[in-house]
Amino acid sequence: MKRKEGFVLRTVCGEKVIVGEGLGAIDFGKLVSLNETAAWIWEKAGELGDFDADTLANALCDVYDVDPATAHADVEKLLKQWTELGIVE
Amino acid sequence: MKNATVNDEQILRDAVSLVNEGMAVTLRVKGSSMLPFILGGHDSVVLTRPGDVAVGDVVLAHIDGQRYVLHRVMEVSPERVVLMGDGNLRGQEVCRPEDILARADEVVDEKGRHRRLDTPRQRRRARIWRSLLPVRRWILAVYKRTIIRNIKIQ
Repeated sequence: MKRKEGFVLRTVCGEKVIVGEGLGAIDFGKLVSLNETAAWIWEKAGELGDFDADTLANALCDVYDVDPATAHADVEKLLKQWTELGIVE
Repeated sequence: MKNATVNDEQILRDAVSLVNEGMAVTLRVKGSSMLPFILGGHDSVVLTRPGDVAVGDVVLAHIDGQRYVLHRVMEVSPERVVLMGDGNLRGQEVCRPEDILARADEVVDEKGRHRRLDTPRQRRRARIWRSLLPVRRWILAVYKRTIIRNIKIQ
């Protein structure tokens, strides 16, 4: 799995959001808002380049105090949302 | 489209800073001050760098450093720009050219359909609308009771 090109993390109105900048356009009505952990996962996914739920959950457990089963379930849920939104492929 | 709340102000500030980076920012607008060309609460506008503004352009301006308005340019000189909302019956805003923060040449409706505001046809319509100012009150009243009600029912 990979992050789709053209989507970047920015801070807009105090919130961390993913915006599509490929066409030099941002729609404030279609911003994807992320909490701190989700934002960290997004950045980590970018560093890894190619990732799956396991690699991200493992990375999450190295940094955050979370048990592996919860981390895995949360990452899977997040990746499912991101896939539906079309920001990962 | 006027008297922004604190939160709205933050949104607009961030939108303007993105516009300054060269992005086209699509933003939902509020209010009825740009009727019948922009329907607040339903339409969004695509904001881009203002460039040289001309009479008839729709622009986002910061008035007196206090409030933001998205209104149409009525007069331009090197020292000042006069604006007025298409849906307003009276009241104009005066600002400096540097207070014009973005232009809105495009509107996006709730179904994602785009329409330009800067085509010769739309500019002609805006000029006709301006000339109807003496009877604008009655046209807007009919418009609000019929067309907007129908849009809300849909």
